[in-house]
Amino acid sequence: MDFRFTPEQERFRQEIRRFLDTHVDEALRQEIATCGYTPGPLAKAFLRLLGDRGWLGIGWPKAYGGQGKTMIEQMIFYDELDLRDIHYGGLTITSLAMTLMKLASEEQKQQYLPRILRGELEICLGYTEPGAGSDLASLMTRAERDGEDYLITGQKVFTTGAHYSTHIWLLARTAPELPRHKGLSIFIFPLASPGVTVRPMYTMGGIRTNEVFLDRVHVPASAMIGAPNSGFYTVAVALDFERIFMGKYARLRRNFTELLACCRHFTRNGRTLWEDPLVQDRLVGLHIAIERLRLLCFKSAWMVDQGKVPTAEASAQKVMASELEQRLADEGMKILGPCGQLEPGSPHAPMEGRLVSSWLLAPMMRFGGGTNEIQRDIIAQRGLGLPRA
Amino acid sequence: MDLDFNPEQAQIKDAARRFLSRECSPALVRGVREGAPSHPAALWAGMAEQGWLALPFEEAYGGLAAGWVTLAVVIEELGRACDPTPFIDCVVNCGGLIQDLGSDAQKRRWLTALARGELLVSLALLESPSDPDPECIETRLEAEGTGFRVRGRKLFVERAADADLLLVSAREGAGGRMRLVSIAPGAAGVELVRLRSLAHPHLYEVRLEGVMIDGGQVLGEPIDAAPAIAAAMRRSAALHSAAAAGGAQRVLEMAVAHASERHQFGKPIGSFQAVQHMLADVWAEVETARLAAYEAMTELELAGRAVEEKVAIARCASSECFVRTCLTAHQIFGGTGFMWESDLHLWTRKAEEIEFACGGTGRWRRRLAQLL
Repeated sequence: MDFRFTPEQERFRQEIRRFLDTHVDEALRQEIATCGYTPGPLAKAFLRLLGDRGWLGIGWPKAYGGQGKTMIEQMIFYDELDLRDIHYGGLTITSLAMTLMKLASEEQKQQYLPRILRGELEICLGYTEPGAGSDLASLMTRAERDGEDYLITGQKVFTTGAHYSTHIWLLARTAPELPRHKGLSIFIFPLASPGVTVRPMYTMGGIRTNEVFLDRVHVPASAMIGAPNSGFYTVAVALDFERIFMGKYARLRRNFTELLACCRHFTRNGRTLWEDPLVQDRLVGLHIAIERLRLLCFKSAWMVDQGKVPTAEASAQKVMASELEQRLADEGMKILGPCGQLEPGSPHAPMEGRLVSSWLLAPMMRFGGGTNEIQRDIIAQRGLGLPRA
Repeated sequence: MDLDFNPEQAQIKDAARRFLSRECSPALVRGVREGAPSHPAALWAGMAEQGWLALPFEEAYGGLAAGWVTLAVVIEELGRACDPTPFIDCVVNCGGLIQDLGSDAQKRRWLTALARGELLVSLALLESPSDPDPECIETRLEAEGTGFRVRGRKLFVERAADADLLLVSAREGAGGRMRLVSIAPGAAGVELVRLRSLAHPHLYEVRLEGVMIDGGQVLGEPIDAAPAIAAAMRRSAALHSAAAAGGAQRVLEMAVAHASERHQFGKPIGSFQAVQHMLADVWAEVETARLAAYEAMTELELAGRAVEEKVAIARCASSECFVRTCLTAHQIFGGTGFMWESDLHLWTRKAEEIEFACGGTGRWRRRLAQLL
């Protein structure tokens, strides 16, 4: 039994750090700090730079131009990017591309994978609809056969990244006569297609997401991924890839370390915040919780490298990470006192307002990507073998 | 990174699981708790036969010189079985201290007997409900003639009445060196007062009213024993977390089994989301507590720089997890688990026993604050 990284893995981490030290300059940092999670021109250029270095395909098999690195190495890589809030294409790289490799035709693979690898192509997820959230199979968007094409009509919401992505990965109903989750198919097509309208929706934190309207959008039959009416399975495959990356600890560890430094530095009533035993106890509790999450992340990554599927582990990671993000932000702000409420860019904002940004994002972390309630169902039913309701 | 046991450890785990499911039934655990008898001699002899009592000791003294992870494998299984023996106190705490501090003659006499299951030793360290740190020890060791006289009062001594020897910490005069001395519980001037705990069934206050001992009863060389005691407490904390992880895992399994069998509204209660979510949260807690325990064990084995911190995290995380798992299980078992006949409260009490062992987890939480 050994919980340590190997010397090669540590060297790999140093290599990434050196690369980031060299290439993440103040201008990019500023852009990231003010972009509200929409990658600006510098971030897009940086994504292509990662592509040039071959790092976008870090976890892809070598047959597809990837580096075939282990999941532990991928975890190291994404942690280092997360620590600097670097945009690396997220799900396009870690989930959708992997699903394409598994389910797409050879022609589709040739069409998409090389461009994803170069950082030229980004795909947003078109799953959620106004009436279909956790109960995704109830979705209404229709794709009707029209000669060689499909005609797609409907509405998607919370289509995060639709305003900067090139393509959409869309789940639509192709067979209304079949039982609801057996009549769905996945399509991938450019957002620039005629009939697609992307409108902004702003979250409580001012972050942009989108609603996407589809009005008789012509999509060739060759844009369908996998067999007709197998879309729900395709989504399940993509989710299995996605879930492994959903709950991460590195940013939480960074925020905690910065919070701790603030507590040592700030004084209240003539003593540092740290000297208050109540503050110490809260910080100790957070520290233990972050360590538990770190260990679970290690376990999931290690299991993947052993050829095992971390089902309950990945779901638990997502639950723990999101709830801990909210707790760390909320408790941290309160520990810091009135300054804790100050946003990025405000005078006197501690930690460059990071806890406030985290607090504003945290509700989404809990319900997004499969709500924590769905994740707990997965742990209970697939992990513990409890019966379905 | 390798989060699996090696083949030998996996084998020990399987053997331990089989042995304990045969020899350590809930009925036996309940019997020991009720004092009939207070020491399960047959189980203890069986454990000696398995070689478990010899695991941490040097080969020269009849030991097997096993690593900390291997010891944790056995202790995790003991926690799982709600072990009613003094394994951690006698073998890990006392045996470890005798090994670290004892003279060659003392080790030959005590360790070999201990490893064979022929000697029960209890640690008498704590004196007040405070942290087991050296500055809190007031028991005195005063030279008199060719020997010493010991005066003081010890609290939370496990199974003092069953023990052949008590290993007592005492100070050589005010601000003097800490020493460990062995005293028979039946010696003149020793008074045992039974404490009644919801957690540990056999806890005692030990009053030492000027007990005479000879030089051979003082452990090892005249050096300060405080660092060795601190090291022993660290090992003990790490191993208690392995026991807690094992106990919590078992209680989770009991709760899952009950939720799958118990029907209400025509369905197993385990099909209800409210019940599933409680158990899902417990699963995540148990899984991470166990990882924290084994990370602490590997760090102990490597004598790594972060050992104190990893042990503190493991101790806090696993103890809290075990207690919470039991309390959740009580909710899921409902009235069934509330009855005296139910086995569940045996584990719940064990969880609290581990929570309060060696001065409790609060001290490790405070230690963690210092380390931050």
